[in-house]
Amino acid sequence: MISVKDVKRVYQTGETEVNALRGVSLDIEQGEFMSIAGPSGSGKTTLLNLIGCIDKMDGGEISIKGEAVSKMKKKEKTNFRRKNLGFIFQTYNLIPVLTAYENVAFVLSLLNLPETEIKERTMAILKEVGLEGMENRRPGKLSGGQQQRVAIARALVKNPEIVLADEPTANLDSDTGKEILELMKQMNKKHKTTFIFSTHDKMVMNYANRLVILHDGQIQSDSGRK
Amino acid sequence: MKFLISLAFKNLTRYKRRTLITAGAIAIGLMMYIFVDSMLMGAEIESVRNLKWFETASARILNNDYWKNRFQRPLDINISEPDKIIDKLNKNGIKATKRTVFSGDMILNSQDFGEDGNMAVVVTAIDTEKDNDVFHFGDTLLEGRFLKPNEDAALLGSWFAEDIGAKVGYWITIVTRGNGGFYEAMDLEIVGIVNCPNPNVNRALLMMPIDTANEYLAMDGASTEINIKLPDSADVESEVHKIQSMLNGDGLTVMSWKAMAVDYLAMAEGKRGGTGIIMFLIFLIAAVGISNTMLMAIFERIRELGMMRSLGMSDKKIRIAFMIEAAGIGLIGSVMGVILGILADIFIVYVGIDYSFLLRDMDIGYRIQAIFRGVWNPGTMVAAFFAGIFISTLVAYFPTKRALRMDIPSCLRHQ
Amino acid sequence: MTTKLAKTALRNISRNKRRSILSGSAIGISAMAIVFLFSLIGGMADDMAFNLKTYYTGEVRVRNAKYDEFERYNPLHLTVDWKSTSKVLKNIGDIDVYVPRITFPSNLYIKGSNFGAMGVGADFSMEANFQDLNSSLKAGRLPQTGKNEMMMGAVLARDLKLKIGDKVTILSTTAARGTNAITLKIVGLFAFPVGTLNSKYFWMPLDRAQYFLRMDGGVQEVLIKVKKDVNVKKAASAINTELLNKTGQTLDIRSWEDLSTTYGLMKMADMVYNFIAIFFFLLGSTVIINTTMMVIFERMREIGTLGALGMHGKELVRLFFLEGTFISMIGSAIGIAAGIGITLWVGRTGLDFTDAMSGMDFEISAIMYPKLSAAKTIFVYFYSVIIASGATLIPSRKAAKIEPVDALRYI
Repeated sequence: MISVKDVKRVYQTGETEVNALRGVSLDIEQGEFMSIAGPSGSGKTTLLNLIGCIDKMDGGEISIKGEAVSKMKKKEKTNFRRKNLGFIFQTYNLIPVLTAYENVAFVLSLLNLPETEIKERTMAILKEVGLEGMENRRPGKLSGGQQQRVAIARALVKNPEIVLADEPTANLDSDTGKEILELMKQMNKKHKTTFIFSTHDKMVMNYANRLVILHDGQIQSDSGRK
Repeated sequence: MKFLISLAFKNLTRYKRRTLITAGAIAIGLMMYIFVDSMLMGAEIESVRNLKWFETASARILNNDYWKNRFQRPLDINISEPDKIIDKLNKNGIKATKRTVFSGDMILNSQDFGEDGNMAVVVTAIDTEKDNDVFHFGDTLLEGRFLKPNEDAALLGSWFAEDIGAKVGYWITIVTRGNGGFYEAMDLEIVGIVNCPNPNVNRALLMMPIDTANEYLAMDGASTEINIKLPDSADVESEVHKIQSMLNGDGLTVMSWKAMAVDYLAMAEGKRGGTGIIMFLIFLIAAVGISNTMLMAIFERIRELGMMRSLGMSDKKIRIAFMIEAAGIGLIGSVMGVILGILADIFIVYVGIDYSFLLRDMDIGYRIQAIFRGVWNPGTMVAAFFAGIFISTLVAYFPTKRALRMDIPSCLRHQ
Repeated sequence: MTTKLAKTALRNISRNKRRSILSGSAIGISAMAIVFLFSLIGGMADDMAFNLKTYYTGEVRVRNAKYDEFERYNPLHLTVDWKSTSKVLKNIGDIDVYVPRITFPSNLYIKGSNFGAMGVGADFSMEANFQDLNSSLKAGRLPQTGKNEMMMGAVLARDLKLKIGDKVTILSTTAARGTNAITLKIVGLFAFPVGTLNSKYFWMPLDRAQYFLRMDGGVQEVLIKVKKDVNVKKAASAINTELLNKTGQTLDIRSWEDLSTTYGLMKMADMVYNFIAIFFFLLGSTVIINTTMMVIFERMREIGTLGALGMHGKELVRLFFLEGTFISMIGSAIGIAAGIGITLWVGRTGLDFTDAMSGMDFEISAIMYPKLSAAKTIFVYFYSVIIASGATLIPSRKAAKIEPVDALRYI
């Protein structure tokens, strides 16, 4: 479903050039629960961002479900993300002035769905991630784990094709981290959503069905679908 | 200390746009201050000059009872031997001239003026030879010629002449009561018209020779006032005092121009007060701007602050660093403001603003006929320059205090 | 979507209350100052209009056609025929009230000295419908028709050291171009709001003035007030035609706005003050611009997230623009409320400019009362909000250009 062909990305930091990705190719099927691992600087966040259509590449191409997303203009990319992609961040990135409910519902209102549908789906997904009763709390009043659950709900509520998670457990203690991973795995099984997450944590890597290891901007190993 | 200063200035370059916008607000405030001050000062200097040159002279000698009865312009409350006093003054190096001022009715005939008419006038009878020692009408002749001694002639201010349609060669009749109460009518020929820069005078000036008036009014050599010229640098109050002591026992009072121009001074003060309020508001807004900017600067650097404090930098030094930074913004604003102020001054000093459309018919108090010009006031520019820096520094003091109250770990955790 | 944005924008403002208050206060201070300024000017303009209409020109002024040209000569012989004129005016429906006046220069002969003053001959019973003379009367009573009485300006009486009961002889040039004198007893002292009227004028009964000045049934001018909602200029020309047709007099009949240059200048000043207002609002806006820039910087990660979630740049711009607009609206509202408060408070006692204006001859009262105008105040509100929120557009539009991937890297 996702086709990554010989993707290159170069950064200019001051005077020096950094080759973040030096020609990475990979194919990802629908429903995979995949982890991209590697030491810091290996390019995993970059690869995630490129698949997530929020960055531009300097060579190669990416298609998602047949659409050549790498060739899209900014507006088209935005619309594509709106409809098809979900994001989960290491630092949760919830809007602090909105309640848990509003943070999730917001994504649906971007799609111009009717209010009743928004309410239904939002409440349902919040229940699924185990936050029933906490809908009206603002992020400031939620623990790290709870905030990440909201983020997961936000990512999933629009039934995206792909969910991209950049080090989703890095800011959580190991028990909470495990809970989150369990939740994501459940969602993956239930909704058949493709999960791609980046990590350098061994425990997280073990949860994945497929492990791609990056080193210095190139694929070092790819375990393939288990 | 040097380190703090260079730190502060380097920090300024982090947010060039924000710094410039804040400095810009300060600059505009200072520019307005310099401009308005220049214009007002110019207006005041010219008004005082026109007052002294054409209206009040530097000082005036009057009979003790004259001033409180001045609305009547009584001829019998006078100075009986003005020439003696003028000699005494001349011997002491002071220029003086005698005048007699009286009110009357001016009758216009339809032959010259097209319609019969009459109006109340104030006539100023002058010593044709000595008047220009004290007053400056000598440069103002527009048409015709000046008055000669002992003639039945009159000189008019140009706006006065314009308003009544008078021309050189026309005749007017002045009806008044002489010294003693009898009625007298004088026929005078208009021999000259002067364009006096003092609009209040130009609108109403009617002059005649004092010896002619002396005859008609039976003044017997007396005059109602003696006008004195003092050099510009003189301390008017002490000179007035000196002259007063020269005259003691003569039943005469010396009044300085300030004492006579009370209404003008009140108006000028009122104008200053009004503009002062507007300037205060502008500075208030600029101060809010500085405060806001400094708050933002501090807020975004809380982690940095925590880091510096944990490394051992004292609170005092940190506060000084921020205040220097604010002073830096103030400095930029002051420099810009003074430059803009200089540009604005170039305009108002060399070009000025032509208010003649307003001033021709309205008396707004300033003794200016048409163009308001500014003056260079380096003192104000220096004051503005330092004010900009000082206010910025002062305003920055409070936000820094707040930031330093937070404990170090919270600072470091801040995102 | 916009209502959600609005709600979010509002909540965002309360995130950093101190900063929002500071930004809003800059606009607020400007709005407050401008509201007060306009009220002051409005008060001055209204005051001038009232003074002109009551004491100088009425709403429509009728004079001999040649009078104005030679006005400085005080050509009393250029009269308006009172009998025929009043008969016509009485029947013109649009006219509310009208009064005859004779304004003439004179000399007051007091204890051997002359003092110049202006006299006004007026019909006091008709004046009662034209203006409230009783409230201007400071002492004594109004002169009676047919009697040799006068009421004097309080300041004039003070300067001449006269009081009620004193007799004054006045001398004037008459309409026949000769001189005449009459002795009048002071029966009242008045204080009109305009300074010069109190320091240079006295009023006497019309019939005695006509006799003394040999006016032969004429008056110098007739001041007219028209009924409410009547167009003054149109009325003036209608009256002109009527009088020309019915009395054969060619008269100079004009509306008050055409007569006063100073009032015209006031209207011009109004335009200037609109520019001053813009200046003040722009100055206040600099603070909001800075704040908006800061806000965008602080919320970089949020902007990145929103972009990743599929929000277009345009919508982001709208969000920040709304925040700036709300701050302007609230700040301005408070500022205007403060301005209204100051205006009302100053309006109780007025601003006393008597000293500053003592040397000036202006048709403005010495004590100025600022006057609130609902229309002007609302105008100031929208003016300030539009300028301030317009100013926030500049930094807001930068938000659209931010790439999510860069923004997400911010801490």
